Amino acid sequence: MGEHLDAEALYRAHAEFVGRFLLRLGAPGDDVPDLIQEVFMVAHRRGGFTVDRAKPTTWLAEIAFRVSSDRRKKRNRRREDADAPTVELAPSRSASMADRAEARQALARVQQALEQLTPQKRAVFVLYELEGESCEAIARGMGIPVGTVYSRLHSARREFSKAHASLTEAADDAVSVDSAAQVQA
Amino acid sequence: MTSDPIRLLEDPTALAGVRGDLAHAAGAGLKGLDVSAGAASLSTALLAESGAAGAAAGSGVLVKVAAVTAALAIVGGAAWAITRPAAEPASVAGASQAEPEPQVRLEVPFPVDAPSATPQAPVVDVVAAPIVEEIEPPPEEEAGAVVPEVSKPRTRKARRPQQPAAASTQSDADRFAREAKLVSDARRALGSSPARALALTATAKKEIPKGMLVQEREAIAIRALVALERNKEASRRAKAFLLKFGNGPHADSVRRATSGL
Repeated sequence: MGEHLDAEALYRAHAEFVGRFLLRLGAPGDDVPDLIQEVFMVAHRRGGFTVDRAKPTTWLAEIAFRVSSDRRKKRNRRREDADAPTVELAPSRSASMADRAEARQALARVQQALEQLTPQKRAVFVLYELEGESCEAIARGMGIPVGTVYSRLHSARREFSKAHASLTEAADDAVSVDSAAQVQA
Repeated sequence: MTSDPIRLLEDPTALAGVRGDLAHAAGAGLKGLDVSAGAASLSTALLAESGAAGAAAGSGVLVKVAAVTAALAIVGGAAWAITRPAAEPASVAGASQAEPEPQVRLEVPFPVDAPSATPQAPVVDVVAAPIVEEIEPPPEEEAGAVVPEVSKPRTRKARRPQQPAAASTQSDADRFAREAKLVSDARRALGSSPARALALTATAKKEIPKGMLVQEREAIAIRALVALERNKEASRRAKAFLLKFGNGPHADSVRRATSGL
């Protein structure tokens, strides 16, 4: 039997991962602290995590996916804590000031492209492409066959690339229009 | 077995724009999450849940942990406390899996007022301590003088009134469960009904003035006061709070809430 981690230990180690994952699934930033809490409450009710089952990240991702889907269904429920801080994804701290603006635009484009994917494909894409999980770990954590992971990933990559290309084109067009307007002026 | 495909980030055939954007996204961090405060809130919520489950079952986790450990502390004194079977009551605390060690750790963070306490310090000490203080009767020492020294420990054990100790422990655990429930309810009410949140913190303060969750309770009360636009009172209480708990897990949320006042 592997090492056992309770909800508290899991929270300290993986709250940030869960927060990032929830944001990438489309959860509103001001909802995320509450959702993170809910994820770890569920983790507690499931008895915590035992290391030999799967990876704690993908195991938590599965819970986060469910919690997030559930919250989406109840979207018009009242916020419980209006004063909860807003959580957001931010460029790496090592990025220079000059790079930050560009990094922010990149984050926004990725998020917009992700929004074109179904939640299931989005979850797999985020875990594989952005969080660096293996397909095997995703399959075990999410409780789906590895073949399904491959198929979702394949399809998600195609859709993501397509959505990203349109966003880049749209941005390029906007820049061209601006430049033309400046020349005319 | 199929091997994983090359990640887009590392795939030279993928568009440079996609790779660049994914690199930014993969390196992004999370801004705005206070892990210490979140962990403290989680502990409170878990304890409230445990307390509620315990109350429903008539013999909750906390009650069991507190009852066993307090009995040990009372009957045996410090030496017994050191050799106490910490994992034994803790294993009872498991929600659905019988894993002794993590259950102890789960209870650890509940003294929100002492976030810097050693994380391994078992909760049982915190629960038992005040009970020993309340119950420890001084006449025992005098009685010991009559009895030969060798037989002293046995006489003490025989004379201890077990029933009142258990009753007191039970009420202590109940009190804590009650506090955890009130504070958790207050936190949940903060967004929808700050007046209710404030009332719940006041109830907690009145019923359990020196509880385990004083910091979180007061932080919620301050945020409720801000939400109710009782700014003067909020400022005054925030000042006192930060003076006392300026490095605590809820200090940042209090600072944030009162920064514009």
